[in-house]
Amino acid sequence: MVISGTVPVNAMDAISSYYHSKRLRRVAVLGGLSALLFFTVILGIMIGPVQVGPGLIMKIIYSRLPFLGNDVVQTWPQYYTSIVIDVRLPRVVLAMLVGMGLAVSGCAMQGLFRNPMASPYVCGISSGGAFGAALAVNIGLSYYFVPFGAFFFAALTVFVVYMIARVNGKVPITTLLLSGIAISSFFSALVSLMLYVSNERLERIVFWMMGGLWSAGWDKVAITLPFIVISVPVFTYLARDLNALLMGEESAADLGIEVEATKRFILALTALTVGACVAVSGVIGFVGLIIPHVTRLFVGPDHKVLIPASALVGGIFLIVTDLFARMVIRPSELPVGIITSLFGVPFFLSLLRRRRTEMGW
Amino acid sequence: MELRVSSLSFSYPSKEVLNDISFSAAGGEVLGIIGPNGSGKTTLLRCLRMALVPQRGDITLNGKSVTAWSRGKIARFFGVVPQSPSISFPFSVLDVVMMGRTPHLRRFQQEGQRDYEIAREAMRLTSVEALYGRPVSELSGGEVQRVVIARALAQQPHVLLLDEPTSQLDINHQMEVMHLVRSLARKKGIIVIIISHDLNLSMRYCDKLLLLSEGRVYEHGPPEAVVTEASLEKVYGVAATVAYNAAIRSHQVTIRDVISSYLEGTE
Repeated sequence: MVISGTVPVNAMDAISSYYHSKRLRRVAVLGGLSALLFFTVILGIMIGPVQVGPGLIMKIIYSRLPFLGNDVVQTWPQYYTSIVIDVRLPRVVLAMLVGMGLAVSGCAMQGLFRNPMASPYVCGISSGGAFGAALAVNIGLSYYFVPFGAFFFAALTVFVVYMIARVNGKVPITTLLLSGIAISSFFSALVSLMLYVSNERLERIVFWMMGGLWSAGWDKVAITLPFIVISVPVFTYLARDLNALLMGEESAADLGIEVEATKRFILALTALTVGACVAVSGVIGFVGLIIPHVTRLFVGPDHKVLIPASALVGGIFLIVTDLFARMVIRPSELPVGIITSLFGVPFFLSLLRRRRTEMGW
Repeated sequence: MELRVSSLSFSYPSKEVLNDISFSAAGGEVLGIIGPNGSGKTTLLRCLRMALVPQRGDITLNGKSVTAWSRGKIARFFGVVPQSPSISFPFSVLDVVMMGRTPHLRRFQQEGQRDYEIAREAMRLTSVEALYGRPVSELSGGEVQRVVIARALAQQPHVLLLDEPTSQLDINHQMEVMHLVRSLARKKGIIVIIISHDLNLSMRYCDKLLLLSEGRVYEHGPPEAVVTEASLEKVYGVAATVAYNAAIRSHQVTIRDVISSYLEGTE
């Protein structure tokens, strides 16, 4: 041991209390956001053509829990149960999962690329996914296969981009971004071609590409849930590596990070996570780009807080925007992708103008 | 602790950079690497820590070859202070120094009290304790330099590699840094290898110097044996006087003139 930890521990000095309060602040931030997410979920279930009170929502959900819910006596009309359990809950949960997945992937991508422009879509994930979905629709596959087509091509695109960008076993970030943009354009052209020849199926593809959660159901939740449940904690465990990567790749390597392996792992995890989101919700823009930035403004650049906080903020944001999407032009609804961009972008730009210098890019 | 480099060669596809470099350094010793621009100093420092993989030759630490070590293991033995580090993200100074603990932590392990104390000690040694909560993105170049040295020290390295750590600093801070690394070498028994453009500082603070010229070792040994009027003329193309300065008990260089025959080649 070269430097022994022999500083006398003066527990109450300024640095020490700063260090320890940092941990408390982290718990407070994540706890507060979790609470907010919980209220947003309840709000998302409450509001709709038929209002359902928060107490009733809790009771209905509780009555559906295995074992615990068995002795609840149903005192409400059955259709409330189906509104909550079959319609609104899966939709709100799906919005939350997709918001989380996109935000957390965007956050990891921005850290990995040290580039504020990076979003989950930079490596062609979205256009690859869009192509997969369009292809599935066009060759007449049933509704259920569309998400799998999207997922498969989203992941495949990232793999192809990575292989193209690879030079002597390394993947320089600029090469990766450029080949991502190129492949992205290529798939966009293919999607346009699909649209051109698709005739009566045009509407389905276009709707899918605008991004929306109207087809939400427990089947979609089941597709996305496993990926989000895995990726959010795994990205959080990669926080230290992402922090080191923000110091530059060479410095990260000097701190003991296996840079190329970490890059591969993060890319793969992002591809799967975003693939799972794109598959069930289409292309919902700007969540993955903006949410990490907004979160970073408030919690700082440390990925230990930033990653889970981005996930929570992403979940909250998409539930709220989806609520708008459902309510704005009732009884019809807007694609949520339009809402996220229409409302998210001005909000983000105003933040950007006011607090540009604090963002660190 | 002994670092031994034997017949190390490195070339990029288009250009040979290092050719048959051999030297050794012992614990407690400060080795200065000097040489003109393009002589391969930074490349050598990269090869030492396997950031670049040399095509030939071996690097051993206490007789064990480091060439097959994982990045994590290398980072537990080699601390690096890069040339003009810039950190554009508003991490606090304490956060950045704590990052030095990264190679000592297992994947799922959190930093503990001991890691914190090691980081504190590193901050004390480099006099950045008072800056603990300041965002590094707002610090001056010299302050960032000292924070990054603290980060490298928090790695508890056996070998500390510094690439021109004084180039951004005021003269008083240059002296401080050189003084600091020498006292670290003495007190902790670590090997310090430092690239410097400043011949006088190098002669004063380094125990040995390695003079590189066009990717080869031109001379290796005690400062006054390496930096001579003859070697300065040959390697740098300058007419210089090297004289002992009793006030600082070190040899010092005074450059008198650039030798015109060397200039003609470049004009």
